Amino acid sequence: MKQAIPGFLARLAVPALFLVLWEYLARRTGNPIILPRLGEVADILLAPGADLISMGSLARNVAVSLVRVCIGYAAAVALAVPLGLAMGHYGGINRLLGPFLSLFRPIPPLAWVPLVLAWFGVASLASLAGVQRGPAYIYLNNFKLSMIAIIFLGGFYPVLASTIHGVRTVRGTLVDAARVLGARPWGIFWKILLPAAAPSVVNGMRIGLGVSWMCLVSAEMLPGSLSGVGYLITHAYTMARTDVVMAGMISIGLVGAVLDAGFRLLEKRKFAWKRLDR
Amino acid sequence: MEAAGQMTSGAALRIEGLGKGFSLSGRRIEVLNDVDLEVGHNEFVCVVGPSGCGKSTMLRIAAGLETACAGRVVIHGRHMRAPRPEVGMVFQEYSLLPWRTVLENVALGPEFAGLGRGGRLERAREHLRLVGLEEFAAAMPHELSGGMRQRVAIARALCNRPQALLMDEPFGALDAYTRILLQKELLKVWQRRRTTIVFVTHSVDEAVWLGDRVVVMSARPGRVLADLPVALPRPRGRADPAFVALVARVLEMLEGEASLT
Ligand SMILES: Nc1ncnc2c1ncn2[C@@H]1O[C@H](COP(=O)(O)OP(=O)(O)O)[C@@H](O)[C@H]1O
Ligand SMILES: [Mg+2]
Repeated sequence: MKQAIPGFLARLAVPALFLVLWEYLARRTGNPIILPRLGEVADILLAPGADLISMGSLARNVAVSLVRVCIGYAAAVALAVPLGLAMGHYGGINRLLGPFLSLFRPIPPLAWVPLVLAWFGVASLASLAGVQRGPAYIYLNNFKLSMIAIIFLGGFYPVLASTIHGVRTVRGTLVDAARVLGARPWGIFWKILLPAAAPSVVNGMRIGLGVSWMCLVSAEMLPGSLSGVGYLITHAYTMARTDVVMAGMISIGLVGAVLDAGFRLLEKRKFAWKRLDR
Repeated sequence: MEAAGQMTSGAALRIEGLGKGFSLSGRRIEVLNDVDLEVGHNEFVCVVGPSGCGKSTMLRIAAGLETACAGRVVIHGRHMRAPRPEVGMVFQEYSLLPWRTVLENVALGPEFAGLGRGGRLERAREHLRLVGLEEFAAAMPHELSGGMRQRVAIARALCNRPQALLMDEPFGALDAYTRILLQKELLKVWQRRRTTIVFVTHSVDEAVWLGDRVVVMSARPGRVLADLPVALPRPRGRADPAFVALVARVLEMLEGEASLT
């Protein structure tokens, strides 16, 4: 306990200093468009259910963004994990797809925006599901395919790369031992490769989710978007509401940190063996 | 081929004219050259040889993990073209699955064979008892010492009730004291659970202490240089003059090989 309190304080020291500096600068500037005061931003964050600049509440916009990320990211994981396992395990598949996929890897997801918009336009999950009116339409129309595509691209490569790496670095002795014990190829896949690669896969999923989340917020700043934190920020900017811009930014940071922490907790709980092994 | 193997099956394991080479950066290296060896039922044969002479390669071919360039290995009348659960192997490197408990590691063979959970864990527990580690059933491999891990690996191999057990320097990474303990333990297990064992080691002392026979291999490309019966009753005394003399004789052969390379 004696140790815990100074450690706790040390962690808070820098953020506290930062807040004090912020408040000091805000008062000196005296212009809420350049830098709003601490209290103004805090008021928005502390009342996440309140309507903001007639765009719905902060909580609602964050939730819309989160659902978008979940869809694009789930698609990225669903494709990248099996593909990565196959590419990591079968040299042939890797030679076939590896060079092709690495060609696209350096392209930032946001550079795809013009193309993606040209392809998908304002099509959304609603058009995909064939819903044309009613509350379901209004809801589903929030999830534009173009945005989901951008999120997908952001999450795909980190997950793919870590999965390939995870399978590649499985020790050959483990596979040999399993073969000698009578494992068939399918058993080796499920009982050796997958669990051995799992820590690396989950690490890639954590990084991929972070990238997806960042891409999304940028994607929401693009035309065609009518909701989400990213759009809230752009819209607030055009209305010179810097306090809303900052509240939006802080929400993005908090949600990203919570998602990351969730994954870290999972890694710590489930993959202790990876740290302790050898 | 298979029928011929069965007809001459006085031996549990036969290595016939085994040859193997690898291409290393375009150059072909000959690793095994015409190796012949017969091992009787429930016999304990130790193999020693200079490092790099192909001992591991020979065991891997016998386990079906690698294919021969010439000749073949026949175990209980069957040509080893692919791994079979009836032929077990214990590796020098740490080969337990680090994400599974000790008990689940030992149960791996029956699990691959499709045995139900209750049945395979029961069988695994019985084999953990055999190596004296039943209290560690729920432990994770990283919680065990090196010697304990190898005992688990032995229990895991025996859990498949193998006709033959191939052991590739299983105690090579252990300290001298643990090594002697595990040698005793292995003999005890072998005397209770008779099975055919081919045990590769670089320790001549270990080979002479454990084996019914000691096979000495030449430097690469490996051939059988000598096949010496160890006609000493067990438990063997390391200070026994006959023991010391045999160790000295094998060491001399190996020194002769070393001067060739
Ligand atoms: N997969 C492989 N590819 C190329 N060379 C190999 C391979 N496996 C073994 N070798 C070579 O074969 C020789 C014998 O290896 P090994 O059987 O491990 O010897 P030992 O176990 O007697 O020390 C070594 O020179 C090694 O470099
Ligand atoms: Mg070796």
